[in-house]
Amino acid sequence: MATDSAQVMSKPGLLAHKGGYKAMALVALVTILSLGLLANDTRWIYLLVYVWFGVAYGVFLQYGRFCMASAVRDLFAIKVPRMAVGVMIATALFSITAGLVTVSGYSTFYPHPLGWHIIAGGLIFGFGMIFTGGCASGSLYKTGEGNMGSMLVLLSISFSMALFADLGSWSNSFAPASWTESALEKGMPAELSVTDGWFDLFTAGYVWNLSGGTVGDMLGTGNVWIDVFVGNVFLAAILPTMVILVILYVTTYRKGFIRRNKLESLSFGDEMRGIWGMITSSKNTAIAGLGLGIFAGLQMWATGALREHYEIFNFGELLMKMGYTEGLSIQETVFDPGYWYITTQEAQLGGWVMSQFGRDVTDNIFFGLQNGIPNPLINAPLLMSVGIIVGASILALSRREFKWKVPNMETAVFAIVGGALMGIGARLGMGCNVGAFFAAVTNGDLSGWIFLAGMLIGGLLGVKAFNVWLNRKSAGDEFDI
Amino acid sequence: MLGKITKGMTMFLGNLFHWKDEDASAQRHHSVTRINESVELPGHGLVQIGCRVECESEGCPRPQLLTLKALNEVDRGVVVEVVTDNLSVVETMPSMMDIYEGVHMGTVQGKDNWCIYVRREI
Repeated sequence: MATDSAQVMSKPGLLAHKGGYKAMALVALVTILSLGLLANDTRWIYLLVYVWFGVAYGVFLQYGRFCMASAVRDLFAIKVPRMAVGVMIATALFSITAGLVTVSGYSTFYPHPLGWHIIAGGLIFGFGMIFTGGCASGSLYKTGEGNMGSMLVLLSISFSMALFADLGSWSNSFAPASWTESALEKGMPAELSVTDGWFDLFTAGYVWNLSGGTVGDMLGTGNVWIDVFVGNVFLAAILPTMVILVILYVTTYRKGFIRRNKLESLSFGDEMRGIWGMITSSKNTAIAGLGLGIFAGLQMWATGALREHYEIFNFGELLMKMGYTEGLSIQETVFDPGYWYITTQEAQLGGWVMSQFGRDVTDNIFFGLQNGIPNPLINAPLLMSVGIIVGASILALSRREFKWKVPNMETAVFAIVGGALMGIGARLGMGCNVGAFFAAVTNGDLSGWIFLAGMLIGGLLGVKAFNVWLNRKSAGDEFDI
Repeated sequence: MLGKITKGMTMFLGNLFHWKDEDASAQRHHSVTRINESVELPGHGLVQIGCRVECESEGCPRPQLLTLKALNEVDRGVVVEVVTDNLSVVETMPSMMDIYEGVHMGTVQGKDNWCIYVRREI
């Protein structure tokens, strides 16, 4: 065996060190703030569902160190499949809970339109995340561990997305004339100026002409259980993950397994043992995936039930009823996916900050028509992201894994440039590794696999470029052996 | 904590404006050196360490690549100590030894870092 002793990580009791007290203080703070909000108006429960599910996601992400950037980078740079295996297992498990939520009628998921933009977005996103060292969700939990480089990544993602969604008229020439014609035909309100700005033309003139659907929709047997569990769960999620696991085993893990066990020829049973060994070496990530899957499903269910209770379709309606009208879109809506999502709310943060400095970012489809730019304090999905940071901090503090880490110049530049690429990729691909991949494939939307393919190509190119940089940098390294 | 943030900001600004802070640059420096020290490793007793990979403040995959380089350079049976403050490295190392020709002997958590012990097998 390649691990001949257990890890000798000291694990003192929660209250045996300062971090444990700080973790408990954080839990108490979020609880008191939540109770205060509820005392103000019980309808804030809608927002608090996002916050507390965010905290749970943060705990699981930190526990499993669930990061797509690590998965891609480890696979291509050092040929270690651990995180990639964990992500695949998490995908399979999440698909089951997502299936249950869909069957119960509370799913808030909408499939993404299929087009070239998904693979292009994935490619740019994947390339960028290799340099930042964290994907969209990974950067959140790493921020919760005190990593200020990851905080820079989040800021860079936020502002790059906001700027990309609000590109000015100088960018019109990069859009084909057919997009302009098609965008005009949509009859959008004049204040959105849909023919002004590349991203508006891309959205109204290209994306809105595309269609998408789930595998369950394609099956269309009329039996919701068969459509969901055969189509969305098995065909769209579990079968592809099994194929990928076998590919990972054959290409990375098998050789070491044969060597360690001194096998000359492998029986079917040996192969199964090898695959199981590969899976169990990703135990923490798989457990995190199971937790994320269960909680992501529960969040969809809880949000769906609250929408039914308050007779609303979108949180914007509830905010209106509560007297908060500022920052809503012209449809009086806000971004409210009802499930685990990362990037759009970060773009809203960037847009809101820009608006505070006098820039009008509501004359575009992304903010003006679809998502709005609510105050961050009442932006439920953004508070879910804050919850993720807090949840990760709670676990990191309690496990003595919290440490303030300030980036050096190289890391800071990579964080800003890589984060900007991730932001552009996320807007182009209509989501990040969570919204465009994880949430998509687990709900039967094959566009998620296309995003992953793009992300892998981008990741591979990123690793090649990163290696060139490393080799240049390490030319003068001390290697005194 | 405030002190650490201030020091970190000084290091960051130092890098930005090319200030030379000897203490900071020493902290950023990573190295792979031959050593002859022993350490008490639970489950293994007193273990002789033949090589140390110091890579605190280094992001992935540099520590992993340096460790592989060190394992390639040392003789069979030599134990390599990897000093890191990067949790991803701590998590990846046992799996990396599953793939490569080494053994993960254990990981010891210090106040601000982790020491990972791996041994070359082949």
